[in-house]
Amino acid sequence: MSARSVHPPQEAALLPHKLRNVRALWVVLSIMALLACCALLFARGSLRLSEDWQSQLSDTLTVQVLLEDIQDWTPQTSLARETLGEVFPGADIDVLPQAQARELLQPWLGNTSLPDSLAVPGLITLTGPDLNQATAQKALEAAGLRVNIDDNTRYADELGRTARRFVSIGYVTLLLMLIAGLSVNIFATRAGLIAQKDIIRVLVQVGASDKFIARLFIRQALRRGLIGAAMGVCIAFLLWLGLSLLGGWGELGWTTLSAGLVDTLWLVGLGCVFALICAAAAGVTTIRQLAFERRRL
Amino acid sequence: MSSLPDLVNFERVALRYGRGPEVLTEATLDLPQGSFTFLTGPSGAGKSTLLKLCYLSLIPSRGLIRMFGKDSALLTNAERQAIKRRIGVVLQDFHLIEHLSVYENVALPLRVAGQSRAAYHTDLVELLDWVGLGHRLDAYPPTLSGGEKQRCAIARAVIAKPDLLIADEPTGNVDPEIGRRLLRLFSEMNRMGTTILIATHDTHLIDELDARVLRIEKGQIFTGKAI
Repeated sequence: MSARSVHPPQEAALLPHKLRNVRALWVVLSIMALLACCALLFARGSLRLSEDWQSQLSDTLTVQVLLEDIQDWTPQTSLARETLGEVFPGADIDVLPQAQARELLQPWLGNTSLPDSLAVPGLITLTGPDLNQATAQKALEAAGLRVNIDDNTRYADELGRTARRFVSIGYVTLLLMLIAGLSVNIFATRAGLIAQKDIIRVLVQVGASDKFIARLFIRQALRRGLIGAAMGVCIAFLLWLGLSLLGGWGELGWTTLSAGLVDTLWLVGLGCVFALICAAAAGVTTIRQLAFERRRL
Repeated sequence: MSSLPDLVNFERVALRYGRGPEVLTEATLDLPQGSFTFLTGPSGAGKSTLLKLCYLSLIPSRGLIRMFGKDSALLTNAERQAIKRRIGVVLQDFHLIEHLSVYENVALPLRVAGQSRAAYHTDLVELLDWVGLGHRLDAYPPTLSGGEKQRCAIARAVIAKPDLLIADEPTGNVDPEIGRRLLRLFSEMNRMGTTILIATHDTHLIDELDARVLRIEKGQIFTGKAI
């Protein structure tokens, strides 16, 4: 629409949209956003994986029935099985056959064969909800059995610690990428201020406040950040979707729709935070740079 | 002599760029409210420097500058910006923003002041018609001639009806007819109360009006065209 028409034309952007090298900046920001998204997905996936493993382990008890004589193997493992069945009626109870229990000891003895009279402990695995080591121990001892019960706590704790390290690595990487994004935007804004110093000089001359000028750069950086973040989020989403569909990544990928949806929401949130960081960096840098230039007068 | 208060007041103002010699040494000047003043002097005498001090683009090395009754050294940021919005400036090199149309360039002071486009659209088109740019509203500065750029810069300086208009060689690039028309515009603005300070070499322009003439020489300001 011509400016002469009765209706005033729309206000043009005071800073030019098409800047030289802006595409290179978009690429850099997209890669940063992508890496930040991957770090977030990795951290969240590690958390899911650890929770899955720990939940699997917390649903399992392994009972060793200690014997004086190998002849007692069948009656005592049967007694243990019955007792456990009464205490945990909903649990799956598997008694490892004696031959397999002996095979488990074989690696410890090398080529030497086990003597037939060796009192190999009976091994019983319980799987189910609400299993409790103390309850099982009490019931089995009351039945006159000598037992060792492993509720996998030590293993689960170790897994938890390892998983927490992975989650921390993911979040630290995410934080580093956001800091890198912030730094790139500070640099880009300074370069923008230098490249557009003629425009700024005119704006200052007509009485524009620092905030007015900062708002122009904030808008520009927000747009730049949103484009970079959108590209990064989309690529990260497709990458994770592809990995999940390929399989073999367990809970690190998306095994359920809800995991995918929640992670996608996190990605969108991260994209918004990324863009806001870009905008904030531009605003603060502009205000500081203008104040610095004024002091130099 | 006007009894109105001074809009601009310089007391023994000196200015040097970096470690160079003083461009202005003992400049004393007053611009009473509603006055029309020509500033003349040889090239390199410090006319542009003096104007820059007047529109707060430079800070003096020493001396006192009072703008609108306030010591310029004590102005806060907000006060400085508010004063700048009361000053219209036309520079020799125009300072137009290249990616903005003539319309947008002229509208700039009003946008910065927060006025809505609907509020100023008609006045702006009228002003551009008046300075002879009515047919070039949508044109961009790189496509304008020197004279058109100058008129665009003048329109931008006067659109917000400033209290003080500072112009550096405003008729340097325009033909005599447009020059006279611009002078009429300045004269009309002055009649409406705007204080005008024009730096020029053009003696014909100075002769057109019965206005005060200041001469800058060797860093000092004298009254009258020449010794």
